[in-house]
Order: sequence, then C-alpha cells, then structure tokens
Amino acid sequence: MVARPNPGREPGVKGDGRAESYSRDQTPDVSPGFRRWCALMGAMLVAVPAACRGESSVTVGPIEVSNAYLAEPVTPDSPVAVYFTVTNRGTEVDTLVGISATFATHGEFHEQVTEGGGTRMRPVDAVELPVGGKVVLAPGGLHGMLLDVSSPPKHSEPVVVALHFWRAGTVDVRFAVVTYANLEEYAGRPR
Amino acid sequence: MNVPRTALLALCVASAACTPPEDRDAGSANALRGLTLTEPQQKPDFTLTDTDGEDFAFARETSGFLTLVFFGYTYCPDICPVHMANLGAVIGQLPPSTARRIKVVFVTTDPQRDTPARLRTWLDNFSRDFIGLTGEHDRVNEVQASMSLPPSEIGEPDSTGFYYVGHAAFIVAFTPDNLARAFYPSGIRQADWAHDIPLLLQFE
Repeated sequence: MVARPNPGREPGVKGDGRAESYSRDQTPDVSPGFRRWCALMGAMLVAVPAACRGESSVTVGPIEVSNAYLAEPVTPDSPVAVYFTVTNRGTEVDTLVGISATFATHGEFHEQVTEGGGTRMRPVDAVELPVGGKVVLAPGGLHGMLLDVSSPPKHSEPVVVALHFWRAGTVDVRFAVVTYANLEEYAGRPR
Repeated sequence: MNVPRTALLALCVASAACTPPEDRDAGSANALRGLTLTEPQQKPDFTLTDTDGEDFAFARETSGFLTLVFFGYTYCPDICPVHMANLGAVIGQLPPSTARRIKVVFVTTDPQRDTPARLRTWLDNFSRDFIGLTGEHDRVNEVQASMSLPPSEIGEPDSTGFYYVGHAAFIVAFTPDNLARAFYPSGIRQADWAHDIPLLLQFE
C-alpha cells in the first residue's frame, strides 16, 4: 500500500447524489419494518441476514470493493470512520482519490500514525492501488472519514457512500453501519 | 498476545521497561495478553475535574480498584471509541460484584471542546459508570508523563475549524494494589480483555 500524505490538502470530493451503479450482487432495498427486524436479530446476536449488511462486494471496472462497513458515530456531530477493502484486478495502477456521501459535507482519508507511543491522524491525499494489490482500510490504520455529518448513520441501517477512483471512476457502495462495540467483528472478517 | 510488533516497540520507547512476548512464561503477570511492564509503576497522585465539575483525586478515588486509564477525546473517530466500546461491552458482561471492582477513567486531551457535559454524554454511550476527567491541556500532559505516556498534540484546524488531537494509543492498567502492570494498545480485542481482567483483579 502506498499512501501519499499531504498535510495541506484540499477537502475531499463533495457528494452530488450521482446515479447509483450497483453490481448485480447488490442487496435489495428494505422496508423500515424489515430494518427493525434486522436490528432485533442483530441485538440477539443471531447471524445478521445479508440484507442488513453492506454489499459483499461491488465492482467498477477492474476495481473490487469488499467488506464495506462504517462506524455509527457516538455523538451526532462526530466524524464517521469508514472501512473497506479495495482490490485492483486490472492491468494498470489506479488511485483512490475521494470519498463522499449525501449525509456528509466532505470526506477524507487518514492514516493512524503511531510514533513513540503516541498516535495521531495523518491526512492522506490519495491511496495508490497497485496492479493485483489489495488495500485494506481498517480500524487503527488507514481509513476513510466523513465530516460535517447532517444525518448520522444508525447501526443496522446500511448507507450509500461513493468512492472515487482516478481511472475506474465513481462507484456507490452500500455500507453496513456497525456500532463501535461490534467493529472488531467486521475488522477481523476474511476479505 | 496479539498486538503488532510495531506497537510493542513504540511502547518500549514510551515506558520504562517491557517484556517481549516471546520472553514470557505462563502464570502470574506474564500470562497477560496486555503488554506487561517488567517493573510495575506506582499510581500517580493528581487531581482533575470530573463530569460533575467536581475535583477528582485520582489516587484516593481509585485506590484498591482495577483502574483502566485512557487519554483521548470525544471527536476521535477511530481509536478512542473502539477502546471505550470494547471495555463497555466486556465489563457489561461481568457479574456486578466483579464489575464493581473496576474503574474506567477517560481523561480528555481536548479540554477546549470536551466540556464535562459533553464528556458525560459521550461516555454514557459506553457505560454510565465510566469516569470522565478534564483539566488544562498542559496539566493533562503532565499526568500523561507521570504514566510514561507521550504528550498529546492539538492538530491544525481545517477550514471549518475542526481539528484532530494526537494522543497516546494505550490504556494503562493499574491493578488493585495500585501499581501499573500492563498497557493495552490499539488493536486489543474484547476477548483479550475478558481474558486479562480476572488476572488483573488478582493483584490485590
């Protein structure tokens, strides 16, 4: 994984409600009642049905996005941490250049940098995706961030987040919304 | 012992001494999944302000308890809420008689935005029993130094005024005998806490 830090970077790409481009394995829209049922089942620690989760994987050109989940913010004005895995199955290097959502004003990528026992966030301008490579965004490391959130995501209610790739273009991905207490389960999931 | 080697090395810089995992025996503190200090450290004595706006004399209030201390801030999106949520989930599963022997103390490294009321609201998402402390930024850094932790750093604000705060990534565990015996880095899992808490409670 190559990530280029740029402390003086511009804010990320704004969300603009573009047309959705789900792959054929997208999950169907669900009713509020079904979402409540999902929440109940989740609370009972029964295996959460697929429709409550994000998509298993989405492709845009040769780019595959999988294990897409984000953290339900603790307070409504907190940034939203976003995690996913990107695989480049193409023959050219691509670059992840932006993240956006209709519920947030701007998006960024950050690395969690640990030095001398301290940790801090370092903005990352873009994330390079080598040919055949897999980049994992996960808690405690590289992750996406959505800021100035207008309607905070709620756990068990998937949300759509757009990922912007330099070559492959934009793909809307359905993200599972996970409480912080359940993050480690998703972070440890095989990708 | 599942922590990354890099985190362990970082801890070795921050703390007086620590034991690499391969050097450990089974039994006593060496069985811990946290990063064990080869020389336990005394619990420092300091006073900060709690979420009721009252003075909180740390050494007196936490004496005899397993005391788990973390320095972070409520706008922190990644490491702080993960640590607190994991502790809330694990301690919430313990029998009340065991949970009562544990105090979780969250000290803000962002006193400008983390008012006592905001701290309380944020902590209540994990546990109403968690203790929130605030104080002058320099004072909090002194307290961190007394636990062999690096100082926190306020980041540059962006165009909206939002900023991040650099801080220590470790939870410090003081056992009931009032000694710091282990550090818990980012990446520690709920199963690790469930494993270690009963062992930590044995140091009376």
